[in-house]
Amino acid sequence: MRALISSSMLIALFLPTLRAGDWPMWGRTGGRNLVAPGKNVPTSWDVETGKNIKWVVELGSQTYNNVSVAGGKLFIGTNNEAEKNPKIVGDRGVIMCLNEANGKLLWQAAHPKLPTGRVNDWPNQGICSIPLIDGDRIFYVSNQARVVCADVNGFLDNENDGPYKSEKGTSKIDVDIVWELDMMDELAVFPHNLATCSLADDGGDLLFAVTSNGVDEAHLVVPSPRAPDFICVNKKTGKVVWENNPVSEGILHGEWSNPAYGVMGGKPQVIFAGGNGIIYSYEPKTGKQIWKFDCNPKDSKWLLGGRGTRNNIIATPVIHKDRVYIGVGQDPEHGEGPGHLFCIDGTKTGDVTKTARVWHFGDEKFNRTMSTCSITEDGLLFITDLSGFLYCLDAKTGKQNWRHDLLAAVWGSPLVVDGKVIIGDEDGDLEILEAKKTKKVLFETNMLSAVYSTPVYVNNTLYIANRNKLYAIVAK
Amino acid sequence: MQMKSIPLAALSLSFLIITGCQTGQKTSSTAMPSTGLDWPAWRGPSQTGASPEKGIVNTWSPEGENLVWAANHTCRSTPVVYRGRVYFIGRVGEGVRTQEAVTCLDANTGRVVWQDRFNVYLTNIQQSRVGWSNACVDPETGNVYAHGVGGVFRCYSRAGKILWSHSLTEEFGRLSGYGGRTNSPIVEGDTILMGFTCSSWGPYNMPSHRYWCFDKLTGELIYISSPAKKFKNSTYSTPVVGTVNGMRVLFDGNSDGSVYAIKANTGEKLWGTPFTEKDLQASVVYSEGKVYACHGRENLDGETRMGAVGCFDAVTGKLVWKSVGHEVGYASPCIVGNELFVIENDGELVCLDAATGKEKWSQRLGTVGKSSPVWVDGKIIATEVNGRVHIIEYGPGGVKNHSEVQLMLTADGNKRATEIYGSPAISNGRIFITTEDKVYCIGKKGSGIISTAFSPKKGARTIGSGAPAFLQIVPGEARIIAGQTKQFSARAFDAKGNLIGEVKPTWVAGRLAGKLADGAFTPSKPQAGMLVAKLGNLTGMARVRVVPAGSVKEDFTASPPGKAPSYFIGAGKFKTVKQGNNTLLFKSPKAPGLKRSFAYVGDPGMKNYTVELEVMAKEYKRRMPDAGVINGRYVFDLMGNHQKVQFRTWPGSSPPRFQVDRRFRWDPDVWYKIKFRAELPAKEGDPARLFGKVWKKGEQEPAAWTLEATDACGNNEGAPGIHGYSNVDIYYDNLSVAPNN
Repeated sequence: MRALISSSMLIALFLPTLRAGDWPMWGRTGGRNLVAPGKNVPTSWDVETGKNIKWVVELGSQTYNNVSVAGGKLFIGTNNEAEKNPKIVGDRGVIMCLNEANGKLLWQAAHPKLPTGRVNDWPNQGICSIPLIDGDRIFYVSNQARVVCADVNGFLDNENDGPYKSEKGTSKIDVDIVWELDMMDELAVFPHNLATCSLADDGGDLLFAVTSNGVDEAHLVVPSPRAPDFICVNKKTGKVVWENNPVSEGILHGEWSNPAYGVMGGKPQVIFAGGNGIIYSYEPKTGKQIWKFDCNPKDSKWLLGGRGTRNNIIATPVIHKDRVYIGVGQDPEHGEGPGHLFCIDGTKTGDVTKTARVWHFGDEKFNRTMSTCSITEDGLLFITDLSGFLYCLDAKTGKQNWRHDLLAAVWGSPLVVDGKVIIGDEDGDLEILEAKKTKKVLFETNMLSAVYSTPVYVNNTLYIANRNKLYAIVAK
Repeated sequence: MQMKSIPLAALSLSFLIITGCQTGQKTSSTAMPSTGLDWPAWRGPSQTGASPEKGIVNTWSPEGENLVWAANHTCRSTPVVYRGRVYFIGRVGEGVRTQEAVTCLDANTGRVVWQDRFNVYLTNIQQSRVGWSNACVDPETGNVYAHGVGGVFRCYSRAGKILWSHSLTEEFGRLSGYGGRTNSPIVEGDTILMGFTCSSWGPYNMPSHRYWCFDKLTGELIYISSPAKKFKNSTYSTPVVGTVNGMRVLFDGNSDGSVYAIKANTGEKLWGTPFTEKDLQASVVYSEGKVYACHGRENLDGETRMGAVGCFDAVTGKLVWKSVGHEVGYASPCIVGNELFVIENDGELVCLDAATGKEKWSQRLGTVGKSSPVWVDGKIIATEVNGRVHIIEYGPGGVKNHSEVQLMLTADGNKRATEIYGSPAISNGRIFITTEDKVYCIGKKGSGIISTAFSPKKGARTIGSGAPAFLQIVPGEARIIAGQTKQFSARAFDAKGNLIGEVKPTWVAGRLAGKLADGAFTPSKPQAGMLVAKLGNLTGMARVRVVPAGSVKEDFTASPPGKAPSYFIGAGKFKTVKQGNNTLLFKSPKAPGLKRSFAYVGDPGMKNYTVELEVMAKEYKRRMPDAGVINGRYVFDLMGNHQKVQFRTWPGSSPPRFQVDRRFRWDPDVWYKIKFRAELPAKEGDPARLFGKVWKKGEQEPAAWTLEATDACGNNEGAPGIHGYSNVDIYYDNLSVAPNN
């Protein structure tokens, strides 16, 4: 009991406080567990008739992520096909700031594309980083591989917050950048195809970023092996606090996972999933390694082009009750293939590949995934894979309760809220099932274009982004 | 069940076209009978994805039901079938002997009749994506044409003899692009047509997806057509050719997102209609005066939904209808009568009304749509990337009977779906399908022997009439070794692009230095420029690139300021700069696009020579560039960020087929001398010995080689060149190439 109290106190001490109603980052909390509080989630709507649709906003043509929400504002990354600012046309990476109440655009960031082209900044992919909101600042990684700190109020407050004051546009629709860290110029990062990281923080001044360093266009050489894989940045200054490059030339393809932050075994830890399929835990303040765990079987093989058995990690690690849950996968362009899902004891130290494995789910039962887990308080784990299956497992044992075929590829992750699990797929279908040990489909609808994003439920509103639209859905 | 039928008139017209017979014009020989039982090109005999055959099975299994034969091959391409022979391009061998191959099988048994294996070189494309191009057969000669991922482009006789061969990368600056798909050739009359992206020399230094027309018998380049203004991405659509108002017209989707029509015989642009902001990857289909195109990219006009299927008027290029929201980025449509079948990127088969674009019905095939649907005997035959083979009987309301076979591969101890990227081929009532590990022949067992009898027969040609409207010089581009003579000829075409005949123009050498007499040009030195012919008010031009005769001495002082020497190819990102009294070659990180470039300076047939080059690199914030030289299709590279030297030939092979390196300290701001000697075998595939040496300029050349290696499966020739990966500034000086002493 004493240990429990002590542990709880430590958790309370180290974890950032979350304001009621906020969804301030990817996964809502640093633990990234996709389980939302709230009730009365809508279980029926129709985007064609408008039934239960509170509002809809046109995004760019390619949207891969969903909103973060705080202070009555929504932030979402997309591309510039909607050309909301007529003065800024052509391909850009865009962050839109919307009014939570009605979806009205307040301002937007529109970052130019990198001149090197698709090897570093794939055309029309927009911004995949979900902004992290902290007070009057948002933090995200742009398509130019810059960690950006911006004013949530843009220029609507009639101020140009700095030190960065070189914005080309300073009208009401433009972004007010506070600082930015150019990871390519300053740190020699070579993002493969796109820098994508949705940042984590420690609740204080430390931000954590996976750099997206990767291979060159030949897919064989890591052209910048001296660039960091993972960095810690001061939120106020944009200066690098520490950097690690444990993967270096070992990057298989790219580094597109997102960090998780939490307390395990009483210790604050920031978790980084490397581009070599190894997951690392660091002390948040120093970057000193606490443990590492290899998520690839020893006999697995990496084959260029995608059909090997060795994987990297695109999903986000989830921290839940001293455990880390992570599935492995590859760029969806590499196709389907064998995958693995691990539950790792996060309280150990050193190379814990052999000692911290609580359970493993794979062995032809599971496929490559980009999905992040949802773990309920009553011990159910939900995850999807690229092959289009939704799984319900026992979070303690990894035993499968059921599997559901969504009949299309899945890039996003399931959200659990109000006893229901909500998931979208590439065919634009969105399904709601009971979040229970036995499978029951409650609702299915089509969102008119691919749903690559993960649903968000906040302030009694369900947000679903398909490829080119953001829907705010409410139960009436 | 309501059977869909192809209008007979349309079918017979299509079959006449493929055999070269055209109607309504004077003809020079007798028309060939059409068989309708061959599949000589990837979209079938009518280029529409449709087959007139009957008796296609409804079900099959890899275990034996309706399986005629299965053979072990690794393939990503669509097979073509002609007179009892199956041809495809694929990957063969393991380890150091991993190669690309064109294979001919007996259509009755699946046994190998012949196979041509060749090395893959100087491309970044990954090993698993080799052979992602479709071969084609010339029905008149039985010759087979195939394009390899490294730029090998060959013509084979029916018996497998190599009749001619190009190295498109070294000759024309062809870029193998991104992702591994490789452009496919088609036969048109006396020519072979193919689109590919190049960055070569002169105005074609700028990358663009261009159309290349070769003489099908000799391989000589006839013309290059460059209709697109912008380059947005490498594109892999395969052109189709149709007859429009008596004119043979090539239709294709291009890198700049437009659908183009050009005169197939002359390369003159007829029209171009923008269709997407980005690149068009899926091949178009032509039928009865309409061109149908698809894309999975961004639409124009502020539309944020992605993807569209469009119908264009073949004469004007005007958009007839557009159906937005179908993301069809890879699969070519199949058209039968008034039904247009497309496969969306997420694996959904959709049947559209060809007159309106309205969706009639759809059927999920899997999760990834890459290959193209085929219509035969009232059924749709389709493959899906994750090993699924579909035979679908349908009616007006949609699918009536559906056979789906899941093909599996056991590799690395993990059972998984085998990959399928090729589309089905139909011949003699059989379905031919290629996969990652097998080629299948599906059909009724005991349904007879497919005849392998074949005799060449030339088809008819439309003869031009009226006043000459276009003057064509052949070859349209020539690579001449300095001091040697090249004979050019000129041909006149009428307004419809039909050949009138050879003509005697006035020849003008322009800025080219050398002797020119009656179309025979003997250049005096390495250079590049235009040879001009004039006939009345018509002007024709040929691109001429003169490469050194065996030895090169280049100090860059004679090059125009800001440009690489004119006879270099693929050197658009290299330029000369003055430093004091010296002129250097420079590669900057500031040029848009990829930082990596290969520039070739000689003839691809060169061998057994030594390249020397001086190089100096800068360092900027923990990064240094890579710089090196090319010899015999090998790169000897100084790798700055990795502080090592390396030999390689095909970096995309996994693990590298041949790659040797060792640690080497390379300091910034210091000039180094590089020497690379290659001793190549007479025959490709025999051992090649490589010797590389690096030392600081001004110091005595060390006696020992810095790096020595033997490639057991050696290249046997290749142009010398320069490599640069300029994430930071690179400077080069004093390039020399000399025969091995």
